[in-house]
Order: sequence, then C-alpha cells, then structure tokens
Amino acid sequence: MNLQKFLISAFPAAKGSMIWIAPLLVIACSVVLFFVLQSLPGRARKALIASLTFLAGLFYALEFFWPVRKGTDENFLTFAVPTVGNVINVLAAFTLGLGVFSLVRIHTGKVVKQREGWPNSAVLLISIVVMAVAGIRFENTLFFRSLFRDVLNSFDAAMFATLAFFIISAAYRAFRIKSAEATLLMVAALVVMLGQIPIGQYLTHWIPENGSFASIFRLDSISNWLLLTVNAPATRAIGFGLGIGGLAIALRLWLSLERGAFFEAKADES
Amino acid sequence: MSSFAENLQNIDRRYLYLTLLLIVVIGLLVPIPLPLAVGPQARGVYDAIEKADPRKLAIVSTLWSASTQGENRPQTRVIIEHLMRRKLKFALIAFGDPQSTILAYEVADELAPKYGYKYGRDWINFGFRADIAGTLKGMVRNIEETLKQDTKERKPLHQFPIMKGIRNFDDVGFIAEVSASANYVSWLGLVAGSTDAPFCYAPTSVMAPELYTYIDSGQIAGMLFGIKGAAEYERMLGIKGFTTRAITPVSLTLILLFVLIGLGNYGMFASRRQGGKA
Repeated sequence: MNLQKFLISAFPAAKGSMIWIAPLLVIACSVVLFFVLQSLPGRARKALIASLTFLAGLFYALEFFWPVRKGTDENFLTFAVPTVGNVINVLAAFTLGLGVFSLVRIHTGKVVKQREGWPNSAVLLISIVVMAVAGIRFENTLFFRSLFRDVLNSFDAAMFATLAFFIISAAYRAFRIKSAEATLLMVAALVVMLGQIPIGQYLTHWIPENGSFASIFRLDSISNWLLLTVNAPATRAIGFGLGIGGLAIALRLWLSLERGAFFEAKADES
Repeated sequence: MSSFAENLQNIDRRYLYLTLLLIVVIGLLVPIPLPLAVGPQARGVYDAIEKADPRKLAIVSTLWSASTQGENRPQTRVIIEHLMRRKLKFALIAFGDPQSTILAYEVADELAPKYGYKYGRDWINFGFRADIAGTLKGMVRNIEETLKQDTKERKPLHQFPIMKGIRNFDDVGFIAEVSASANYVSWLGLVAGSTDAPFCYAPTSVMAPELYTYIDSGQIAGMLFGIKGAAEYERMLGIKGFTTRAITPVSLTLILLFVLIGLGNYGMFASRRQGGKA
C-alpha cells in the first residue's frame, strides 16, 4: 500500500472539536512521555535516543538516495519532506525556548541568592518579560516598536560598532612585519583593501575600467584577481578539509558514536 | 626614557579610539566625492535581477540583525528596490535570527508605496523559520505545504494572489540571501541543484572572501561585498543613498588602519636599528 495513502487514512485531518482535542491529547502524551523518559535508566535512555537519531538521519538519507518513480522526481518518502521539515522547525523552536528557560533558571537563582552581579541578572529577567509581553500582546504598537527599534536594535548596533575600535587597536599592535610570510600577507592585505575603497581605486582611476590591457593593473582589478585566483583555491582547499571532517562528524553523530555525549555520561553513572 | 621609535609602537589606545571616532564622524559629515568602480560580482547580482523571469517569484532570504545592519540593511534595500523597479514579485524569508524578519520587512514596507507594491499581490513575508535545512528541503518540494502561512496577516499562503501558480523552486526565478552568516552552504547544498534560479549572496565584508570559490565555480551568480557592494549597486541603480555617503568613513578608516600599521612597523624597525626593544 502507498505509504502516503496509508498515513492519510490512519491519521485523517482533524475536524470540528477534534481540532482542540488533538493538541490537548498531544500535550498530555508529551507530559507522560517526559516522565517516562525521566524514569528510564541512563543506558535505556541512551539507546532510545540513539535509535531516534538514527531513524531521523535515515529518513533524509533514504529520501535522497532512493530511486525516484518514473516520470516524477519523487520516491515513496518525498511526500513527507515538508512535514518532517516542519517537525524539525518545531524542535528547533523548542531549543530556543530551552535557551530562554536555562537563562531564566540561572539568573533567577542569582537574584534570589543575591550573588555578585545580581542587579544585572534582574535587569535581564525584567527585559525578557517586558520584551516577551510586548512582542506577544502588543506587536503592532508603538510600545513594541520603540522597545525593538529604539532600545534593542540600538544596543545591538552599538555593541557591534565597538568592534571597530578594538580591531584598529589590535591590528596596530599585532600586524608587525617580522618574516617574509608576514610581508607577503601585509602586501596582499594592503592591495585587497585598497581595491575595495574609493580612495584606493582613485590611485589608479586614470587606467580605463574595461576594454584595455592596462585595465588589469587597476588596483580594484588586482584586488579582484587576488580574491578570485589566490584566495579562492585556498578557501576551496580548506573547504575540502572541512567537508571531509564534517562528513565524519555527521556519520558519528548519526550512528551515536560521538564520545563524551551527555547521555553517555549519564549511562556511565547508572 | 623610551625613544620616539618605541613610542610609535605603543601609542595609547585612547588616542587611537579618538582618532577613529573623529574620522568616522567627519567622513559622514563631509563625504569625499570619489568614483567607485562597479566590480563584476555586484554586476552579477544586477544582471541576475535584470534577466529574472517576471512570471516567477523572487526570494530574498535574510539573516541579519541590528549588529550588522550598517552593511546588510543597504544591501537588502538595493536588492528589493531593484526587484520593485523591475516589477518582480518577491517573498521575504528569514533564518537564524528572529530580528531579521522584522528588519527586512521594514525595508520592503518602506519602499512599497514608492513603487505601488501591494502586500499579498506583489510581495509577501514568509517570516522567520528556526531551522534552515528542514525548511529548504521542504520548500524544494512544496513551498505552501512547508510554510503554511505568511507572517503579517497570518493567512494561508494560497489565499494570496502572489502565490498563484507558485508550487516549488521551479517557480522561483531569482534567489538572494542577505546574511551575516554562512547560510549559503544550505542554499547551495539543498536548493541550487533543484532550480534554475540564479543564487546571489550579500554577505558582510568580513565574510565575503570565502564566497569567491563559489563565484569562481558559477554556483553564486553575483555578490554584494559588504557595504562597498551596496554602494556599487546604488551607483548602478543611479541612486545616492546611505552607502554612497558611508563609503567615505569606511575608506578613511582603512587609510587610518594602514597608517597605524605603517607607524607601528616603522617604530619596530627604527627601534631595532637603535638596538632597542622591537
């Protein structure tokens, strides 16, 4: 039987009161599942999580490698890709929630016990609550826009802008020509950066931009040549290394062979 | 007593900060009218939009927040402005940072009245998605089934006229990603092979060099190299916006950087000649 048809018949779309009952059932099942998982010994939990990880990876691997039906670009799993994508999005959203929960837990503890720097934690907690209320309840109001645009965005931009000061100071102190390699790096950096700015380009602006052999001697042309012909192969080589490393790590994660994982430590404890 | 050469190597950082601040402020107030050559990468983005099929949807994906808005906002702006000039239908989508969807929406919403663009008919906001890989895999098969509804009106996508005839990436004519991160890996790995739509990238300057390998291979049709790329684009569009003015402080800051590095190295060599500390 066609897997898609089977799933549609087994799990028909919720209608009427089931639209409300179904999510409540899901929440109830999730709560039960949570306590069941909590009560499992470490080794059993690890085996369960390894199995789920393997199945999740297997779905995308099978969907990618399984031959498609004649005349279509789809195989028996392709229909489920958007749904699985949505499931992953929900899980990823949960990780955001988990991050907020962790922040709140740690900083609440700090405020309650009045540890060093607790006023900063209090500001953080108040900000989280105010921003959440503003975003959920007053999204299209001046209150939210003011908090988002005038406060959050301004702080964010100001924090990042301070980097320029540190970079100037660090480059001035660290960039010393102490070897042939450092000289080469310095010259290349100088040419590339000059080629990116109008003042640098102005130095060779008298050379035509296009249509002449001399054009290759313009600073922007040399800068572009360095980026495309020297930088790109080096980046590609690094990319190959990263790709192979990434593949190895992906396989280790998929097969739950990665050592030092949280549940392995838990399993060792039990 | 330390020599002049040694002092040149150890200028108090407060003077450096003050000089930088002055240069940026003066540069913004008094722009230097210097010509800026349009590079082949920015030209690639321009040509990709010029050649895009008006019957198809353009997608502008964003991953930036206020921290990199100095570069990413003008990049988003010029791309959207060009799409609007060409009367291309487009959709916004955001990954990675939830701020991104609001900031990009603001840019499009601000430009829309100028070009008579109506939400839902000419453009739409798909909103923020936490996971890029799962979302893109789903969109390759079916955009509506994956994204379900828009972010502004929270209505099912099929209710918007812009989505009529749009099923998957076969119906997409242009893709641009404006980003402060390495999202291009997902776009190239999961989407590029499933569509004929050219893929363009607009990263921050610090990220741009790693993209050249994909430009060289033709997988990325064009790129806006940070704020300089946006300034080049403004030149091609014939507008004098923020980047045309902001490129002066950027230039002056880099000149300051060269001067300081030069002074530091001169100090080091002079100090060595005098037998001092290098």
